[in-house]
Amino acid sequence: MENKKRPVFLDLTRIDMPVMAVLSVAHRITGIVMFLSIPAVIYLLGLSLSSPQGYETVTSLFDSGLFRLMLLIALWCFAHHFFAGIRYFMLDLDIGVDVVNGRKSAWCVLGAGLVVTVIGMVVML
Amino acid sequence: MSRKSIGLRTWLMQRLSAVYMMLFVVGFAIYFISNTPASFLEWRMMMANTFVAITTTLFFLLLLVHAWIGMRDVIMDYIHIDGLRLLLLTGVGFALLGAAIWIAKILLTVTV
Repeated sequence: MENKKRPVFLDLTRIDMPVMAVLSVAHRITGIVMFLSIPAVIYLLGLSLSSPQGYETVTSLFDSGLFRLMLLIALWCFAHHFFAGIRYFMLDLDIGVDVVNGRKSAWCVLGAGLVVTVIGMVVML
Repeated sequence: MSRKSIGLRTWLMQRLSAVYMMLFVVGFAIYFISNTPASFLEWRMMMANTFVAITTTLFFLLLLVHAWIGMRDVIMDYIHIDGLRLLLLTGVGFALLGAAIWIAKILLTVTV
């Protein structure tokens, strides 16, 4: 049974978070954000396929700065989740489980997610 | 698999769905960029293709399974009040089931 009296220290502002921990938290946050955006994605997909007017409505959204910003946030969420997922696959396969390589791969994931987002930004501009 | 290995089963499902989604997203992105539809009709024709419609529907269904496992894990990690946990899990489950029916209806009824 769980020991209810064991000390718990979860002050996130005082815990030193290594980059792997930041990555793990970001993996969860990006997942939650994408979960919340599922209805909007399905709605826009359905609208774009429903009629020529619906299609025009969706394509004209790309002219909006706010919509582009939301797309970039979504792109970062997706890219980060994607690369962090590949990293977890590698950890499952016992690749890079040690601290040095785990830290290196965590930085690579953060970088790769940002690179994809910047590419998206350049394509949109 | 036995009842005891249910954690292993969800762990495996999370990874299998991830592999399919990764392959689909990369494949669809390449296909879309090399055949970018320029009009409503072209877009509809692309999605009306049986192969595209089925692989896309499958993508969304696996996405919803993946989202269910992920959200379930997050909720069970952070919500320790039984009633609230049940409410959130039920809400997420119903929302995802609804989304599954919604997307299947959209994608499987596209005709040219």
